[in-house]
Amino acid sequence: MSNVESFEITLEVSRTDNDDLASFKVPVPSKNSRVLDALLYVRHNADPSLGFRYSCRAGMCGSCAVVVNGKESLACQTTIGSLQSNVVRVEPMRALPVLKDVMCDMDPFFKTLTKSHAALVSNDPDRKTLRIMPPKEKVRKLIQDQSGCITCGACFSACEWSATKESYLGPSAMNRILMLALDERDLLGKKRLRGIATDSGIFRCHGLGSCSTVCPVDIPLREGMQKLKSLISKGDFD
Amino acid sequence: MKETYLSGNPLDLKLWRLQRSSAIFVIVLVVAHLILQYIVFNADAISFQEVSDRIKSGVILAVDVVLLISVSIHGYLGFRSILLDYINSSRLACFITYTILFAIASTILYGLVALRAFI
Repeated sequence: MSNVESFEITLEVSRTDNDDLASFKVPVPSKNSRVLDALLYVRHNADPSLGFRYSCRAGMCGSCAVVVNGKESLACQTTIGSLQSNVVRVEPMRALPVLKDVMCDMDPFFKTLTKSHAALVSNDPDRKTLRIMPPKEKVRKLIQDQSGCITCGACFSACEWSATKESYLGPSAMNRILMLALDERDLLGKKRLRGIATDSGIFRCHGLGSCSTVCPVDIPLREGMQKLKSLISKGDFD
Repeated sequence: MKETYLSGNPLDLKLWRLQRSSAIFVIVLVVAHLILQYIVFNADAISFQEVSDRIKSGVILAVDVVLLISVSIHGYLGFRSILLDYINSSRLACFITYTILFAIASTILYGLVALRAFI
């Protein structure tokens, strides 16, 4: 098979041992090659010490989230062709401490999920399994839009307030609370809304929508935040 | 499973609602104020006498007083919201909140005293 699409890019990668970006020439076989392929090429052929994280390579685990040309993306899902540039800049996610190069400590992000206590508590303790909601059920449709978070932390990184406001829960945790508030099977349901009706919660969200823009699984996070505000403004906490 | 959830802050919720509801008053009353000022009274230049004559009407006075209260609440709470974006200390946030509440009350009081001079 001919390799007519083959070209070369300059991969600029943020390094922890150097203030400047490290620059590498990377041959790319196709426009459909991924940023992760370029990072792996550098690790295998130029610098084995390059630090980055990946696992599933299918956009499901969220572990390869980085900032590519200024936008939070999954390295395994971002094609070089989609960037429309021969210079690809890879940086670590914002609002999270950098462990090495473009690899971040996800702890602050995961702590927001823990702090939100957004775990389903069944309202029917006698049932051993949760009732399955049919796809056509109205509530199921509402929740469906907000579901599918892979906890990659891209929204947390893109959110203007996650970096500046330590106590802020962030989009992912609040989206989880919205899902539970809508889920009739959850015992606490809308009671959880009272917990985010604070200046560290939903009131800190100004609806800029950066979270929605970068979400790799296209969860309408901004709309979710508006929905939360709407529910809270009605004072429907029970 | 333990039934745990965040507790929330009733004051934050009240101030947030107050800011949203005051926005409705501001929009409606600013339009009403402009209509009264430039269409009903056809005011070209604002003078003490002209304002004094206008404010003798109970309706105009009521519009101005409610507008004063709404603008003070909405503006100061908006300013508070901007400040809280950049503050991580909960003690400082609390201090700012009460300072803002004091500023709202002071501004409304000062506005009412100023309006009284025209009556």
